[in-house]
Amino acid sequence: MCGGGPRRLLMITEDLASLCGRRSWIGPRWVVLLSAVVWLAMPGEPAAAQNPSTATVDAPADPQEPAEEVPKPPKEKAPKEKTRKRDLVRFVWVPHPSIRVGRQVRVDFRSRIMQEGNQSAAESGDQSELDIVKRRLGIEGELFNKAVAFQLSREMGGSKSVTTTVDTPDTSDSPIAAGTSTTTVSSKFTIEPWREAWVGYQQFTFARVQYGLFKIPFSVDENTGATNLDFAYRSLAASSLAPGRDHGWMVHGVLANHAVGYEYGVFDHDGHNAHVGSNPDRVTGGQTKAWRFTSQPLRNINSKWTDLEIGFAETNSYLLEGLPSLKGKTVAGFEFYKSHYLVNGARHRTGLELRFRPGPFSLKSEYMRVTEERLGESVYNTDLSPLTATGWYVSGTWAVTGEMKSNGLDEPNQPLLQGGVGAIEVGARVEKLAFSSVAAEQAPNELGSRSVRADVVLRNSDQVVTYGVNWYPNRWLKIQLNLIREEIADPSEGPSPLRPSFWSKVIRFQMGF
Amino acid sequence: MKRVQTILLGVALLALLPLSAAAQPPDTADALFNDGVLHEIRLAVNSKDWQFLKDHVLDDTHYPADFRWNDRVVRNVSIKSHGAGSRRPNKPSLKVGFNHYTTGQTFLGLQSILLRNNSQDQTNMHERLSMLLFRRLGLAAQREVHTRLFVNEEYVGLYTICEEYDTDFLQKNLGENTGHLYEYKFDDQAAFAGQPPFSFQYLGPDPALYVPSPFEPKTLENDPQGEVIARFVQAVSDTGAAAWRTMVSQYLDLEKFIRYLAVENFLAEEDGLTGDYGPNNFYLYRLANTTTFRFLPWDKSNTFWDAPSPDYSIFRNVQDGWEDHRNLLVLRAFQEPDLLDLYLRTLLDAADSASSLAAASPDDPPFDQGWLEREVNREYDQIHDAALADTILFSNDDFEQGAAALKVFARDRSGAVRAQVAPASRALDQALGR
Repeated sequence: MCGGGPRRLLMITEDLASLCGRRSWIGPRWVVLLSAVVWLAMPGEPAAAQNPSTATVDAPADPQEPAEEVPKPPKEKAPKEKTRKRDLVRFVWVPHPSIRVGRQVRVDFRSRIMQEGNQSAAESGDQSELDIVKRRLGIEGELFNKAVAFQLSREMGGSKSVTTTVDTPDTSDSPIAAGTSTTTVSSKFTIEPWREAWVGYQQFTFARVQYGLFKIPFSVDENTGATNLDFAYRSLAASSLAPGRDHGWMVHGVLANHAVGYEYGVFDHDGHNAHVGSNPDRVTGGQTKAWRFTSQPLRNINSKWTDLEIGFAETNSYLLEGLPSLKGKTVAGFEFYKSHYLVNGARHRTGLELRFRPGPFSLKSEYMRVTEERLGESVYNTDLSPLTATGWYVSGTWAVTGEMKSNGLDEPNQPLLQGGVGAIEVGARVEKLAFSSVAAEQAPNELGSRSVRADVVLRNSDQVVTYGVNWYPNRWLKIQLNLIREEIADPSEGPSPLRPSFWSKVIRFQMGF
Repeated sequence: MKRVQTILLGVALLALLPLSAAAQPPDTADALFNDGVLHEIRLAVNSKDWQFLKDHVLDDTHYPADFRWNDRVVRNVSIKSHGAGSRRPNKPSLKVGFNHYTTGQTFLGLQSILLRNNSQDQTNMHERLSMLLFRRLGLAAQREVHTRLFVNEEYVGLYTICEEYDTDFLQKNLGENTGHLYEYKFDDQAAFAGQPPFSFQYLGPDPALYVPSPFEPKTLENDPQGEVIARFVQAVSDTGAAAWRTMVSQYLDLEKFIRYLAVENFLAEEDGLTGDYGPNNFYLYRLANTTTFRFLPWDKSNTFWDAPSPDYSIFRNVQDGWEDHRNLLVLRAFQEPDLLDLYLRTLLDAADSASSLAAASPDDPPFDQGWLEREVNREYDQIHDAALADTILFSNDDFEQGAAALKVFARDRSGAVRAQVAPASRALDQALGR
């Protein structure tokens, strides 16, 4: 779900009560979650331990997650830890269950349960999913006085059906049918279950090394942990165009008192977001080189602009001849651009990012563009203009209850049942994901074609507006409500050929430590 | 006031202009089907696709191409191997789809055309001559002309450009196009297995017994309505019914059908409605909002059978041949004296038309050769050089011998048919007491 695989939307009813009433088979899960909400909100030891002195609570799972980079201000109250101080080996409950052996070893245990439902007004496609449950377990830690870090996390169980598109020979005389069939299969995961599996050497902040399975350094949204997303889903640009996780190594560090950051890595492939699954006709990039440069140019200046961060990133890989793995999918996971154009050559990504979090507000924006070469692919055996995929978004949030966005809202100023209602945040995001070719961009009035060797391809785009409310009753829980409007430029290629725009609703519960 | 009247008159005339234009829309495809010239078509196909198409000539996979005719280029057309037993890897028949990849794209108003390889006709002329005679006798049939075909600037051979049976054709020729069009697909595998062919015998009420095989929908594929075909075939096969004529007439204009059959058999079609292998090579069109079917001729490469002999029997596979290969519809229709009489009279019409010496205008002197013979000679002259340059499937001797035989057939067929019709007419008159 969060790694850029097909984001399956779930049907829900307009309110939780009716949902539980009509679909009793999923009711108990919601009841369990709600019970957990109440239990966790009750005053007691866990609640009392909600003001730890440690830097972060519910630290993001991803190593490059921005939230980790910003130190939180010290809290007034020291945490109550269950420790036996004279022992070499200590077990600590907060901020996470953790084993510590002096200063040499720290191993944190992490878990997250997510339940989600949604309803989409898209008329066709797979809307059969009524319930998504994700359970992630993991450990992370540091060894040898923090010189070595590691992380290991995995999705545990949870079943869902996944829509798999299989490219069949184009034998139908129907112009519309040109070449696909879609098969729904049952699968536990949309992508491989391992989320993070890496080890890093981080003795020096200016140059760290990391090896294993982790996210390729591209896109601030893609590299934000699932628990810290402002909206239920990442932007279409991030989930479709950013590469996501892959195996590889990376050198990264921060310079100039954290004002400048860099990441450079070499990965086996082009990331899980561009994975090809079992479809033999689809191709993705081979060895991928990626670099990312971020800067907080005003970090060392005491002003409200201190948090402003900008970044630029690139990836480069090579595609063998075939149909590209990057497709256009709506937020609801329906294809609106089937990407039936042969590619052969370099795949190049560029990304620009901006993030600014003054007080309870935040502003985030990114622009991404992917080009894929088509060398020798024309009917004349000459080069076709590259395929292009362009995505951007602008999002803003406001913590109504006054929390500082840069500190995260997962520690409400006044948790539920402790004199407050928790943290409440509202936000909106405008975004667009467009697919085309350079020739089609240069000739906007020329008729696009579905031919696999078309220079002017059939363009399409999805423009999305998301309205969201996030509620953090306490440090353990997060509830997100999103209202999403999508508009497909060429609805004949989308899920509802007669309906260019449609609404979707999403509700997501997250519980974790 | 006068100025107002003038303006109003002008507006009225302007308003009428589109109406008159709409009433008789010019057929922009006429230029492509101009049979006065040998055309030239050039396709650009990625070399890998072209090789793959030839290597997998039995597949129906579409491949992209650019299409050039004269100075006009249509980009992103689709080509695919076409045909049944006529598929050849070294000279594939091709269906060219102009709108397959690009919605709404047409070429001279056409959605697609066929480039036929004439692999079963060493003269390359059977198809074109046959369809021309159908149209000459007032029956709807596709237009065909010859073309040189080049793929990636390499001469692939002499082909025939065939108009497709599609909604455009239906509108032009039948005045409407919203009915159900089916291509009859002969079951080769059943024939190889020794099973009798479909001969309009009733297979049962299940629409799936008729659609999509042997009747493959070409329009309204999502609502093929095979049950109407089932009822049609049920009426046909109930040959003992006293009301057979009435019942079948609900589904078929029998007079038009008989005329179609007569033209086909004048052309000595060995693989048609009364072919040696059972009924074959036709399209069926059910007019919109009716149960009435129309037959459309298809694939006439096996006409002029046994040429130069003109003696192909007008009752072949009706009075002879394997019983289980005989067309029930034809057999039963010939039991209706007026339909048999119409059949014979139409054969004579065809003979008259084929042997007509009439000049193009009354002021011109008559020709010294019949129309069909002249047409054979005209086409021969037109394609001669291109045919000789194309030795992929047939040698130059094959072409010359076939053409010579065709000329003889064209010259003698009318007389031979008249000779066959005469005794049949006498027998019919005697039976009717005329």
